[in-house]
Amino acid sequence: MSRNWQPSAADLAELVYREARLLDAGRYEEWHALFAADGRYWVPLSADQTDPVGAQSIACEDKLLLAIRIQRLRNPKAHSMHPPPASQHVLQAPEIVRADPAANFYLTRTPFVYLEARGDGQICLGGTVTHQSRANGEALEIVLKRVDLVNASAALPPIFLFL
Amino acid sequence: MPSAFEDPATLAALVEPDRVHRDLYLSESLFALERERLFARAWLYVGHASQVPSPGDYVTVDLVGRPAILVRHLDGTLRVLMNRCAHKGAMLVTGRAGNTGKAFRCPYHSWSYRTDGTLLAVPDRAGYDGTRMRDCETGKGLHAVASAERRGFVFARLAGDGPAFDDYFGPALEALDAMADRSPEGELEVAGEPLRNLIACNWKVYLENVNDTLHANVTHESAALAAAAVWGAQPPGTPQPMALEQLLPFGSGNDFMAKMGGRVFANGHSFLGTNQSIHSAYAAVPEYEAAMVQAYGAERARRILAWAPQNAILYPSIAIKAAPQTLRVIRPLAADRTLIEAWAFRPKGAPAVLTERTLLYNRMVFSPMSMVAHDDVHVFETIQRGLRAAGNPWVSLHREFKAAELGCADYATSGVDEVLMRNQFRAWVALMTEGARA
Repeated sequence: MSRNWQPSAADLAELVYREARLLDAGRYEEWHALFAADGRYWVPLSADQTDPVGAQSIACEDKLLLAIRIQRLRNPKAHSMHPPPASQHVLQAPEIVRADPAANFYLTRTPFVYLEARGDGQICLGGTVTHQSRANGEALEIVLKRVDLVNASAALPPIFLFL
Repeated sequence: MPSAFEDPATLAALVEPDRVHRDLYLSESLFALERERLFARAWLYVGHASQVPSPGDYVTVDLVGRPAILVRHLDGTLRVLMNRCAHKGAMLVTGRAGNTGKAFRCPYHSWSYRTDGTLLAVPDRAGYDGTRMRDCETGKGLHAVASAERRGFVFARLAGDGPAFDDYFGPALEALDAMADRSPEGELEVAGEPLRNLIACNWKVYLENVNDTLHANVTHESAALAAAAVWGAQPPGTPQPMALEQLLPFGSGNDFMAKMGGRVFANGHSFLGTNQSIHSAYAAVPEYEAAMVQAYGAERARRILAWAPQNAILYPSIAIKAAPQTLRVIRPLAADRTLIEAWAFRPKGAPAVLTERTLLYNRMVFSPMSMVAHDDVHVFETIQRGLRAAGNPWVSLHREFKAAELGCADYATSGVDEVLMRNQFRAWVALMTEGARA
């Protein structure tokens, strides 16, 4: 039975790598499909933040808002896409924080560096990304992608794509 | 460096009744002069009283290049002090916030100051016997600047002389009252730290846009269309999430914007959306409205809740949305660099959903990752570069110009009249040239 499928350590790492690869390739619709129906993308404003909506976040989006964001990027009148930005995630090997098949709960923690280039400019950000995922059939789906920037509360330039 | 702009007539010639010269956005020497004059004489937003609830609590803030401390003195009053040791100039505190106890103590030679700025102690004081130290600026301690508080909002005037607080803001202070009145207890508090955005444009580009309704369905077309398309594809009967309630009105047409209404006041202040705004149609929160009626009575509660302008500007440093309870602080860094802070406020005694609405609005619209702001920022930054083009050096502000508006201290108009921007530049000339005569 597929419900008994359990992800290996390699599966958990591959989810993190694949997620970043799809973003950097601009394959946003496939990226969106990695999220669970109740999945969420969250960039807190402070490292100790536990409440995404009752405290200020830089971003906190469910699948509906992510779909709007992606659809906007596809519109030629998304002015900020001219010239088009490009991203590169540089990932450290993911650390498995918790793998609990009984609870169907998986958590990895991955330090990263993020480059975003646009025209002749480039920004460089970094931090840690936490993926909370669950098995659905014989695949993992993302329940929460939490991105903790090392300088989250600093004055930031626009981040046009996805950390 | 001597600047050609020091001459009041040269300055005044940059601002015509219906257009302004590009030097206002591009010139570093004009920016230096703005710091000496405009930002010295205007009342600038510093912070909110709720950031420093207890004696000794402080926050540090940069007031257009002047490092400042907002601190609650031991007697409970708020003081705005320059963050500069009277001895050698080291900053007394460098974190964003903290509690200093009864005194600030310099990390360099341990000079210490009371929380009203007065000098408390110097090391080996005998060494100053017979010197002029106590009789000059140094002996006075930390430089305290004029400050004023209104409903918890704290402002400072860097220059020793200049307009009085109430005279400077006049009827525009109603915007602060209106936001505080949205609390059943009449008090707001900051909901955590602000979102902080660096934008490569002149501060005036940002401040003008706060009053620009006609850009919304052009600049934000992609966001509004995507919101409408994705929402339209949801199964019928899906409850509309708050995020959509906030995003969809960005596609409002020019007719809606014109009917919004606008009002400008002396010294550059303005209310946009005196009749309606894209915030007017937010869903009612019955529990909140009951608390408001309880606190203010039905008629006054109705009036408070009906006042939901698009933006109120207290020139030149803040833009307010009473609903959602949002305050943007415009902190100029250079002629071509501006820091925008977006603060959320929690109305005391109101249900949590009100604050959640504000936090949601700020992260969707005023965040470095906002899909709405991205297109604004794109345009602002291209203005900063586009204005350098050869030929026409003027920025057009002609829309709905009428001679009758000149010299008018309180002028009501449509929501698409560029007097909402012209008025800012008239204040600019006044502050820049009065400063020259002083």
